[in-house]
Amino acid sequence: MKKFNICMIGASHITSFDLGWREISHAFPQVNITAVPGGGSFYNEFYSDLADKTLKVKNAVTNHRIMKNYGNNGAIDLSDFDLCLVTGGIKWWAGIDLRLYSLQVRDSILFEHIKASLAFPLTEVIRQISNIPIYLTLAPFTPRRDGSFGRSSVGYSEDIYRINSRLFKGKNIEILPQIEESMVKGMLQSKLEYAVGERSHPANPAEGELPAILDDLVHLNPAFGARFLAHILEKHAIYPTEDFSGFPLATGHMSLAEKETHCLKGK
Amino acid sequence: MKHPYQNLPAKAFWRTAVANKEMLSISDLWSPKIELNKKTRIATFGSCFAQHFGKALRDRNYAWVDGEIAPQVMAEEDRKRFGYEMFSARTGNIYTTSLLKQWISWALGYSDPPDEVWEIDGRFYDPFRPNIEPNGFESVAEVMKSRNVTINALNNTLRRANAFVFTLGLTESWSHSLGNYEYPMCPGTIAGKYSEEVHKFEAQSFTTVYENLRESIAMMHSFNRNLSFLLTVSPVPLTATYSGKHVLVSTSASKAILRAAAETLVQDLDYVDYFPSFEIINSPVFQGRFFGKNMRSVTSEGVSFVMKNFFEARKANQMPSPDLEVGKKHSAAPKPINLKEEVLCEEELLSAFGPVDQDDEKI
Repeated sequence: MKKFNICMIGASHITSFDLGWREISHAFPQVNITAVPGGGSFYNEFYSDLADKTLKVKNAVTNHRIMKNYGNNGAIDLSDFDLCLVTGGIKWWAGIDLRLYSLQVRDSILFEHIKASLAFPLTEVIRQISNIPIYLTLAPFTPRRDGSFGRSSVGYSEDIYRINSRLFKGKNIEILPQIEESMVKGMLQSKLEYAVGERSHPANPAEGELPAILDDLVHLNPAFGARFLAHILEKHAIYPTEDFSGFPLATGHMSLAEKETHCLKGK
Repeated sequence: MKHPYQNLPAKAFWRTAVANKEMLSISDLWSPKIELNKKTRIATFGSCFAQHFGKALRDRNYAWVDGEIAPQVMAEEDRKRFGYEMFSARTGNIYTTSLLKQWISWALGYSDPPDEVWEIDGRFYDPFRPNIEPNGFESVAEVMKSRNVTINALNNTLRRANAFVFTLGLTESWSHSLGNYEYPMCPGTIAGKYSEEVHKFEAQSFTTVYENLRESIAMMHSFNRNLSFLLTVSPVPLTATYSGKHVLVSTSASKAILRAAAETLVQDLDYVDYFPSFEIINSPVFQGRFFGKNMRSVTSEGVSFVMKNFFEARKANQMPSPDLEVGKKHSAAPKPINLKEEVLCEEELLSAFGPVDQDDEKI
C-alpha cells in the first residue's frame, strides 16, 4: 500500500496536531506524518536550496529537530511528501465593516494581512522548489473561560473562500478553516473543551515524556489536532481503519477538571 | 491724500512687488479673507490639484476633514488606489462647478442620483467616480451602496467642516442629455459606452459656471452657516479639448471663465475667498519654471511653492498656533511633494487618445 506522506511544519500550534496524531495514527496505517516543529516565528528560517531542490533552515536547533524526525542532514526533500501542512502561522484578521467598504477593499486588506502572516513567506520559499499541495491552518480561535461570546463568524467562510479562490488561485495552496466542531456555533471562538489539556511544545521531549500542560487558552489540545488531521485525511479520501472514538475527544459536557482528567486518560 | 494710490503698500505696485524681486522671493500673494487655523475643520474637493491641498494640510497637522475614513489596517498605497484620503469624501475628482452642484445636491437631499451603472467584463463602474474602485465593483448593488456611503460621507463632511476648499478645474463637460446629469469623464474613456444620441458635450459659459458655483455655495451655506469657502483655480492646462479649438486656446478660455466666476463670488460674498494657485504657477513672472517638460504637469517644486505661499500667508495673517512655534514637536517641515506619486487624475487619461508623438512625455 502506497503511503500518504505529510510534511507538517509549524510553531507552537503544531503541538496539538503532533500529539493528536500520536493518538490516532494507528487508525491510519497508510499515512505517515513528519513533524517539523519550531519556535515562534521560525517560519522565516526556511530557505530553498535550488541546487538540490530541498528545503533547509538557517537555525541549528531546528535543523537538529529535522534531522531527528526526518534525517537527510536536515534538508527536506519535498518530493518525499504528498502534502505539506503548515499549522498555525496565520492569525485571523479583525475584519472590516462591509456596510462601509467594498468587497475589493476587503480583499485588498485581507490579502495583505495574509501576505504579512508568518506562514505566507514559507509558502513562497516552498514554491521555489516544489509544487506540492500546501495546506495552511489558522492559529486557532481563542476560547473564553467565562462563557462570554467573541466575534461573530459571519463572513468567515466567505473570506476563506476568497483567499483560496483569488489570492491562492492556481497556486495549489489552500487555507483550511478551523474545523467546525471545535468552534462555538456562529462565533470566531473555540469551544473551551478543546483548550483543556493543551501542551507546550513537543519539539524534542525525552522518550516517554509529555510536555507540560499549558492551559493557556491560546493553544488547543490533542483532541483538536486529531480531529483536524482526520478531517484533512478525509479530504483525500483516507478514512480510519478502526474506530478511534476511544480517544478522549471533547464532549462539551464536563467540568474543566473532568476534561483535564479525560484528556490525560490512558497516557 | 492727493490720490488713492499714494499710500498703497508695496504689493500693489508691479515694480516693488514683482520687477525688483527675485522670482522665488515674490510673496504676499494672498491676504486671507477667511480664517483658517489649525482648529478650522477644512474639507477639500475639486480637480486633481485639490489633492495637494488635502495632503499639505494633513502633513502640517491641520484639521483636515476625513469624512470617509479608510479601514485603519489598509496599506497607504491601497488607500490611494481606492480613492481614500484624496478628498474629504470618496467623490473622485470634481472638475466642474456643475459636477460640484450635482454632488452637493445629492448629499443635501435636493435630488437623487440616477441609477446608471457601467459594466465591463462583469465588473461594474460608478459613472460619477469611474476610477474610484480599481477593476470596478463586484455588482450593481455594490456600486449603489458605495455611492450612498460617499454621499452620506459628503453630507457628514459638510456638517462638520468650517471651511470648504474647492479647486476649479474645467469648463468642458459631458452629460446625459435625457437624464440631465453630468459625468466627470466622457463615457467610453475609462468605462461606459459613448453614444452621440445620448451624451452631450458642453463648453460651459461664464454664466453657467458662475451660477452652478453660486448655487452650490448657497446650498452648502444654508446647510451649515459656519462654513466658509476658499476657491482656487487649478493651474494645470487641459489635457484635451472637444471644443474644436486649439487646446491652448481652450485652456485660456477655461481658466479665464473659472477665474472670473471665482472672483465674482469673492466680491459678492464675505464668506468666500480666493487663493491664487493659478497665478502662482502660470504668471509669466515665473517663466514656466513650475511646469514639466510637457508644459502641462506641475512640478513638485511648483506645488511646494504654491503651498508655501498658502501657509505663509496664513501665518502672516494671524497669530501662530502652538504647533507652528519653533521647536515644537509638530513643527517639522513637511515632506517634499512628489506630484506623480501623490495625485491621481482621471482627466490625464484623455492624453492616451491623442495621436502618438515620439517626443511625448509620460505624465
